[in-house]
Amino acid sequence: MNEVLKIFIPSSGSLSKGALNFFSNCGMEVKKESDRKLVGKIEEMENVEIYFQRSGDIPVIIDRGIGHIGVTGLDRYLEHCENSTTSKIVIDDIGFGDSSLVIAVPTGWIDVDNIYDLIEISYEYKKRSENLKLATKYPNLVRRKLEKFDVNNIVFVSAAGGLEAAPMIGYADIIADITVTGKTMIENNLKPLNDGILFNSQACVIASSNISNNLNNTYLDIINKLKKSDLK
Amino acid sequence: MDKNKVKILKNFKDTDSFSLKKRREIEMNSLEYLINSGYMNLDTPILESADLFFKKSLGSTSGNTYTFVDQLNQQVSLRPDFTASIMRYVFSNFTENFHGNGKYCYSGPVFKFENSADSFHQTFQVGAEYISNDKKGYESEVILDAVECLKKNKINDFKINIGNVGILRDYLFSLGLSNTLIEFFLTNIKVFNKENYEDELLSKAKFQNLIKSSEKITNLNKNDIQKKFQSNLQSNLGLRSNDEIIERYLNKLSNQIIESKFKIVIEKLNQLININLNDLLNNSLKIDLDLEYFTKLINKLLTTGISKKNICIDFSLTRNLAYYNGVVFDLICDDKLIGGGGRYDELPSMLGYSADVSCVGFGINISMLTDITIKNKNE
Repeated sequence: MNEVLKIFIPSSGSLSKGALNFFSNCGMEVKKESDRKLVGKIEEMENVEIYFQRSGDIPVIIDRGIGHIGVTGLDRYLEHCENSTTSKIVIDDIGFGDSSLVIAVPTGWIDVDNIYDLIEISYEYKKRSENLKLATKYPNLVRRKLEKFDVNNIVFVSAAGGLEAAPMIGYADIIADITVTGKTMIENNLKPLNDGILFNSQACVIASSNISNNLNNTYLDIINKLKKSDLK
Repeated sequence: MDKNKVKILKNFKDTDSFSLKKRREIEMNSLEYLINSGYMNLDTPILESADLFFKKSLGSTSGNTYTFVDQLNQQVSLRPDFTASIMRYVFSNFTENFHGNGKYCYSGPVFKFENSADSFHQTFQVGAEYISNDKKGYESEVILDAVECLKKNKINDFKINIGNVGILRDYLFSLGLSNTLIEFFLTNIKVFNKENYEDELLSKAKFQNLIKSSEKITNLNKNDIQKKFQSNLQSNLGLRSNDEIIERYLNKLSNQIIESKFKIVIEKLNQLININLNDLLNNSLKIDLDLEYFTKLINKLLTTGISKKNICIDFSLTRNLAYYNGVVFDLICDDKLIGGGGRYDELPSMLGYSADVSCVGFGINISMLTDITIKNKNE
């Protein structure tokens, strides 16, 4: 059986549309039989298959060698695979999906303006044997960024969605989430810290570090086409 | 096929039989000396409750500690040092019968995550703790014991940097600073070693909202704040209370200092940091501070076999740990920090034990000492 190069593209949302446009602009039109179908092809590339998966799952799929090339958010990749030896970022910015990872606190916290205030609050919690709880979908990324500010004594609580409500319902004190405009945070009575942008993210192309010899020419051909994109 | 081979973890290293023999020799020489000097040899688990190390450092080292959740859903840490474990052992076993001095020594592996390519995350330590009901003294004994551990291993070329966090703290307090500003200067004391220290300290203080624009005292009270921020305080407060937030807001205002005063504090603190051994011994200090006890300690070290060239006075030394409250010292060999220690009387109470005792201790990195010994032998 012929070996096939597997490319993973986000299955929904702006990252999906952006990725399909990006491939199209690079001369690789992705075709699929129907919108619901999660498998597709690129014309004239017989040994290439396209798979549509959640953007959050794509980093691990590529890192484990299940797929060879993927489009995902830089935030998602760094959360799961920073310093990985089995996958790499090939293009770190492909011109869409811009967003920021931001720390936000309840608007009622009039005494908190910046990360230094958070350090103090976390110590106050500790003194009374409690933990400042931060809800995020990105615990690894947020922890690494906060450690640079010497913010260590924060407990991360995992959350899959509806993060903005976490402080109101008592699930967490503060949140760190990806936002484009910050409007949802403000509408839910949260204020981003003055210096609370931990990370700027955008869509990126990632690839497995272990491409077999049989697929190497196809792989290089596709990566070269993607790197020449005008959108970048 | 290379990619499938399981490799050693990054920043960990294996020890060959030659180095292992040398390390054990250093460990045994040190322990033998300490045990013969009246220290009781103890061992504690490598894995402890994460809280033990968190409370010890008030969180300052938690980022460097290997912490994870075990199968019983407990947050646990690999010990980053021995001190907190020894304190837990001593005070949980002797709370009612603890009447006198206790001298304890230990050796074993410790684990610390450091974000540097050339540091190892597992090292071996030997060390000692001196716990006493007398509130003063024992610093010179402990420093001399640490030095003797080096000498027993034929390390005679070393330097002791000595400072005193207690004096530093008292001096800052005498300048009329709030606790927050005192902590600010203690945390940033190493900035004084930089060329543009004044600018850097000022910019850090501004970032932390510690500088105010005028001397005018804002006579705001709780009600004023409640009124001023009514709509904010009626909205989302998360898990904090209204009173707690207002109190901290008022504290923030009262902690601020005007820029000109901040610069005077920097100047005065710089004078303290620049005190050297000769100034201290000749009593030619330009600073109004009672250093009699500290000078006596230095004189005692000089009269008990440590020469002047081995001692460096460094009031900017705080050892980055929240629990030291008096003398602190670093041991330097071959330009490398191989150990250190100091006084930490408040540690038992930080760990939840109500013991009014004095504690002084030291730890030596015998992994590093082994490397230095082997290197010196080869040269």
